[in-house]
Amino acid sequence: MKLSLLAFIATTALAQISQGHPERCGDPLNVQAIPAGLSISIVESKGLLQYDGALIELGGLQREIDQVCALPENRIVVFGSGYGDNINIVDLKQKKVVVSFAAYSAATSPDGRWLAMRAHYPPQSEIQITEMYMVVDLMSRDGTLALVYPRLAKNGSSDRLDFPETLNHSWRSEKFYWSPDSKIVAFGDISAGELDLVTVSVAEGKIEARKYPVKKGDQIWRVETSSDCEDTVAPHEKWIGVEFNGSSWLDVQLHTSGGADRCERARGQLSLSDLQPAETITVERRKMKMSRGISNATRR
Amino acid sequence: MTGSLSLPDPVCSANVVVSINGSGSNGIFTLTGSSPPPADACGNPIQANPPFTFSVNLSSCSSGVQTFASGLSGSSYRKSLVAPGTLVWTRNTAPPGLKITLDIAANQLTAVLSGPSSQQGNLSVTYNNGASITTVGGLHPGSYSYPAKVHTLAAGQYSSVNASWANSSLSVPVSFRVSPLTRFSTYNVSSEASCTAPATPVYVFENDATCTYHYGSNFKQDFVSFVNLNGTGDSGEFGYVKPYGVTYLGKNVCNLPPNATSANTFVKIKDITGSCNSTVYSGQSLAVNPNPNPDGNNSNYLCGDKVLIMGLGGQANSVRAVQDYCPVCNTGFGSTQGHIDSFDTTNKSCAASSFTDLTFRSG
Repeated sequence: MKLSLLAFIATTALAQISQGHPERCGDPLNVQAIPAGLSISIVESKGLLQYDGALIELGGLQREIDQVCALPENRIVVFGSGYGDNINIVDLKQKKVVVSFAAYSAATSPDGRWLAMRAHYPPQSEIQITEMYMVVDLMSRDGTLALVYPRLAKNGSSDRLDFPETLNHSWRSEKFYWSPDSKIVAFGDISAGELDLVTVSVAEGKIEARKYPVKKGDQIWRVETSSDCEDTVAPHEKWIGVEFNGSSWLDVQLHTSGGADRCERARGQLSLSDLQPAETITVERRKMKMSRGISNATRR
Repeated sequence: MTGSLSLPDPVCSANVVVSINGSGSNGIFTLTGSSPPPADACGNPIQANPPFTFSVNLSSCSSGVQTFASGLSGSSYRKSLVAPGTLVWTRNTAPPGLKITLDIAANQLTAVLSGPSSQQGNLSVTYNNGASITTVGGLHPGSYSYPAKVHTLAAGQYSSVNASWANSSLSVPVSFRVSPLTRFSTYNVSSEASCTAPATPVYVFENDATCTYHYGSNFKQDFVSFVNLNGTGDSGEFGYVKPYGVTYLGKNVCNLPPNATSANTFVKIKDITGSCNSTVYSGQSLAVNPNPNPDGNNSNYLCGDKVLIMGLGGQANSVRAVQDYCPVCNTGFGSTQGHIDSFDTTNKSCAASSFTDLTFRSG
């Protein structure tokens, strides 16, 4: 039996830009101003952006508009939320949406150039769906999303449905952790029972994923386990937190999931050189039955 | 062919076993299930609505792997959700002297003191972490009730209540975990009747192993978007549907129709199922973060866990079951440290979750 205390907090859809999440733009201490003359309203979950006499319909479905961030060449990125992250890159000069996508845990690098995220999937699923970790270069013209982890062979499938469950990946961090210089993003992932600290280097636009398998008893850990943790946490139930320590080291924490009642399991320090290149996996297309169509007129 | 099939029970750790019989060829047998027990191993009632059909890939003359089941979850036999988890614990000393009953739903502790009428003593009751329920002196035999103060307890696991009176002492084993202050929002599936966008062509599979799909039908475009985002919707023509890409059928059984995409192809379903692959019920089912199914390694909530929801004043609201994943519940909200979504069909809208938070009357 679990006992939860109920909080009464009413929420309503916002019809204006809160700008309450400056970290979305990369620097949590720098609250960006909304471009002059720009407003966004939400009508039946559609985001409608008004600017310079034009009405631009945002892609995806919006519940709230969290933040608008300025990009070079009179472009902006609009962060909406409600069903995960709903992100639009808008060209104000051309008065059009450049690209729109849904994601989870989207995190902008401190310099505002890179956006790391988990590719969206519907939560109410009958099957286990693998995580796919993506980055987008917000400074690029087309805002193309790039899959950065897992690394897939070009001659294999990239369809999530083709992933056998033994190769599925699951998210094991509360958020993405960007290095202060915006060159590396780190996070936790588990696949085939192996908990990994994963880093993705985006320096110079050359994307490279590396990983380190986190194991119990690893000599990197300086254990600081409280008795409360021992009572409530199974050994495998770990998530990874990361702080960058200079340009060569990572301070790594293992903790349980959850909010304030989480308990920390262990701390350790890892050199970036300890991480090895992530292996490339080949996903084969699944074999299935041919489908048979019935005209809807027949059905009626 | 006859045998039995062990189905996962979303609300009890032990599987439900049903009898099966049927026939087939080439390693694929279509079987009909019957004779489910009246209740599962946890005492939750099962209301059967047979027949159920299953497909099994035989690996030997006596064993096989289930590849398809009507309803796709083994939960279609379940029509009502379960008795609540344990809410009351009681134990008494031998010989009689002290009997303690903790009722966390009533938020009440009752102490029954037995002995000669002239006997008196101090009653002390604490939780295993030392938190006091009551300390009162000079009590004679009789029955006494006190607020159990469960809503004031620190977050964490509780394993016993320890009591003493006169010459009697007692430890009552209990088992519940107190969560931190939690926001309870509500969600529903998208209802096409409430959507307004123009229609767009879709393909809709029958939910069986024949891979039969319907073409020439349309869904409203905003309904399609919501279903693809959330995973379930209530269509006007086909009833409940799920996106092809999140279904057992889509992953394991049937190819997409020619020229169709995952974005415009759906599968009919009988019931709304959450990430625990069990039917969710309005006012009874909860969605948590991380995913409560085994893949999520959620250390706080697992599929089928019961949650007693209690108001800030200590009054019980309801007991609900964890059955779904809430992808946006990974952080608290305002003063809360946790966030749980509660399935509620009271309100219908095109958007799947644009409702206010759960409220209830106190007292």
